[in-house]
Amino acid sequence: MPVAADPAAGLWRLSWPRQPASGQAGTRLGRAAGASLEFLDTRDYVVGDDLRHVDWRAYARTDQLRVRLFREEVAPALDVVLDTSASMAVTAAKAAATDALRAAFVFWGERGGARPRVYETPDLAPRTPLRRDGVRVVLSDFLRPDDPQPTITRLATGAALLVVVQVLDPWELAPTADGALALVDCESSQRVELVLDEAAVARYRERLARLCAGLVTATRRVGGRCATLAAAPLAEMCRGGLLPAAIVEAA
Amino acid sequence: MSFAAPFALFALLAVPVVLALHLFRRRYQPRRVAGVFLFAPDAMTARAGRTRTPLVRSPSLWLELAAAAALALWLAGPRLFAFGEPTHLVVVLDDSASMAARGRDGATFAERARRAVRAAATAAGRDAVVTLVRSGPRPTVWLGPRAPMATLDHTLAAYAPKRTHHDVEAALGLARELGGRDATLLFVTDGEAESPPRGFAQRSVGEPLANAAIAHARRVRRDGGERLFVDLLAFAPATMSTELTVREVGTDAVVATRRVELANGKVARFELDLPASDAALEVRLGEDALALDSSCLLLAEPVRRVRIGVRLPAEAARALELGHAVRALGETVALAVGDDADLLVRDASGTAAGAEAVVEVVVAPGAEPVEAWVGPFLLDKRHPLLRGISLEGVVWSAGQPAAPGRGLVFAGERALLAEEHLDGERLRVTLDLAPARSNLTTSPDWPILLSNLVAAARARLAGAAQVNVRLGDAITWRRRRADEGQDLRLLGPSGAASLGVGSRVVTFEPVEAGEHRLLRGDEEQQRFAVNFVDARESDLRTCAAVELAAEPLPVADVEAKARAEVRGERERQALALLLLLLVALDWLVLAPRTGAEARA
Repeated sequence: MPVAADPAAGLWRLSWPRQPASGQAGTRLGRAAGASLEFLDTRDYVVGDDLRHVDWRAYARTDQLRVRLFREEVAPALDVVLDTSASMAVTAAKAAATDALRAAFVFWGERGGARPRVYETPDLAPRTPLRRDGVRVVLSDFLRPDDPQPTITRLATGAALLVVVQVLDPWELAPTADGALALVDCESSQRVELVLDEAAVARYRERLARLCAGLVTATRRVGGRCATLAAAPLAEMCRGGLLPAAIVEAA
Repeated sequence: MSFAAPFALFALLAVPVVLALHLFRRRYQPRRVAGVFLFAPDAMTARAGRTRTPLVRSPSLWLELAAAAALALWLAGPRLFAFGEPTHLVVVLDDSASMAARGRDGATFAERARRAVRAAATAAGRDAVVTLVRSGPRPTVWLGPRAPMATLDHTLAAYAPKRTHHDVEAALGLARELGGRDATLLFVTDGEAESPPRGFAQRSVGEPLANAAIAHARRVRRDGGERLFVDLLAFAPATMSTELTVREVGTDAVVATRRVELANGKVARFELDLPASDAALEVRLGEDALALDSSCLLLAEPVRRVRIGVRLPAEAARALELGHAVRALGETVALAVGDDADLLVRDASGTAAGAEAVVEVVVAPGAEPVEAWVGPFLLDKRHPLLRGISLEGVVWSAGQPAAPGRGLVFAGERALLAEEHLDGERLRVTLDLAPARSNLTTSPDWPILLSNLVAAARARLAGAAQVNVRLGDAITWRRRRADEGQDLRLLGPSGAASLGVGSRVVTFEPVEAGEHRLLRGDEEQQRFAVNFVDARESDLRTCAAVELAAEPLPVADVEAKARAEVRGERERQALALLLLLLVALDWLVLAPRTGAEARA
């Protein structure tokens, strides 16, 4: 049994999709026929079928040999795509929150038998292909000026479920009116001098809200789940962000 | 402590500028963020002026203040030590018109002179001081004494030689006085020489050139028209061919043009009959080495008619034959009406009351006993009133007493003709003569005497006696009595104005050729044409390019000079090092901040 690095992780578990998944044999029902106890369908008998699965009652009624099929039990893959760009470590709190979420998702995956795998990438484009029909979790701040829809679509392609977790520093979510600032982009080194007053803060929050709304829309289009978190202790992030977004549920 | 270029201390103004920059610098708190693009629309775009913020006494501030001060001191060239007397370069620039000649390479001698002076200045060193003396009839200190070398170029740019021939010895003497013992003396001219002036190095920048010049030009009213006299002179190894053109100024109409061949060194005279005109004429020769002597402006000379008034009994007037004399003098005189006379002839019993005459001739036959003289007469031949008079064959009778005043004609000890100056301006001539018993009025001397009296009166008329003058001659203007005390200005073609000297007769000394305007306030009184006519400056055959070093200095002077050449350099080098150090330190202080901002 895996042990969580953060005790709070043990209080939650990943909310797996209702839609049956595929994968190696495991503990969760798959989409294909298998050896579980859950009935899936019947079909004509062919040589080599397990005689124990022949529906003898139907044979008695119809004189046709029919075989009962059951759902397979699989262990779905969990791919965690982790944004390792400099913006994810722009503050210590944001970096800590990212690390905590990464560890928690790995823990939840292991506990669910999902064989989690972490893909570290600075541009949300993993060098190695993601596994098909698995659950994919994307940890990023998505603070990019371009439209997130293509990225989301690409990450969702071939996945059973896409979970998007946007991690932001509290100041990024709600900056304070700190006066004259020289803001330097931690990735592009672009320098912007401005006076951050209440009005500027309000305009910034409006633009950020549009960015987050776009991210939610893009995720919903591919049937995924999305949560925007302020960097905080894991328990607070689970309770305040991941739970309402149906990404985790109580263990 | 002294400075080679004290004006550079104005650079100390950079110190308060640095302070102001720090006071009004907007300090942005650097912050590294993700997603700057979300803030970009609110970036500062020169909204309002900056406001003063508390001065932060940062190392950067102190370093920048020190660097500004060091820069100003470096520019000013400080000298800390006693032996730091700067090199003193004293240059005498030949300001004669020949220096304006243009050589075969297209450069004028003046341009070559500028280059020569700059080269000497460069050799003297940046810390040297310079004195420029411009030669002339009265040499002038044009720059300095001991002016900073940085001001030399500005002064040299205005060097435009145009003076008539003059002795340069006065300028050389002035330069020696200004230079003292240690100065480097340089004489820049265009003439050839075997040895330089004493104590001077000489740089001649000329070259022998052919040149044609106007030696004389005059327009004279004659018989309802005008006659133009032009004398031309060529200085060339062979016969020179050029074109003489006469234009009317204003309309630019060509009045006459003539192709002329000029033999070397010989005056060629041309006379042209022209219609009478009040317009100015320009006489011009074709292009040659010296443009200054190739053109001449001739204004129409004003007619200064003398009005003659007679207050004599009719019989006495007839005896004096005044009518004939006035007719002989032609249009230059006229008989006056009433008291409006410039030359008044009266008898001894009358007065000049009410008359504004500038010359008064008193005919005093005198009382009995009347004496008569047939000579010899003693004449003051140098006096203008007696010019051309001999009194040969004249019988002169005169009564008593003798003529008052300074005697001009004597018979023995008896003065027969005398003059008195009234009010310092008016002239009274007493003619002790009994016309009825003399033959003076029928002798050839009588119209000559009357003509001289008219000339004396004309010379005392208000206005200009001559409007066409040569450069170097004075312009005189006689005021009217009512105009005394009012300022007169002579405005030259370059716009330079000069004030006249004198109260009733005002004298100006123009220093440039061209048309001059005499102004009383803003009202123009008269125009004058000042023409450059000077054969000695027009002769460019002896110009040469020569470089003559000064006589060697005594050994002690050479050593002192060598010390002088390096003085001030140590201070400047130290300041330069300090300046570089301060700038480097400032950069080191600021670099981490910049880096931190980039990393933040």
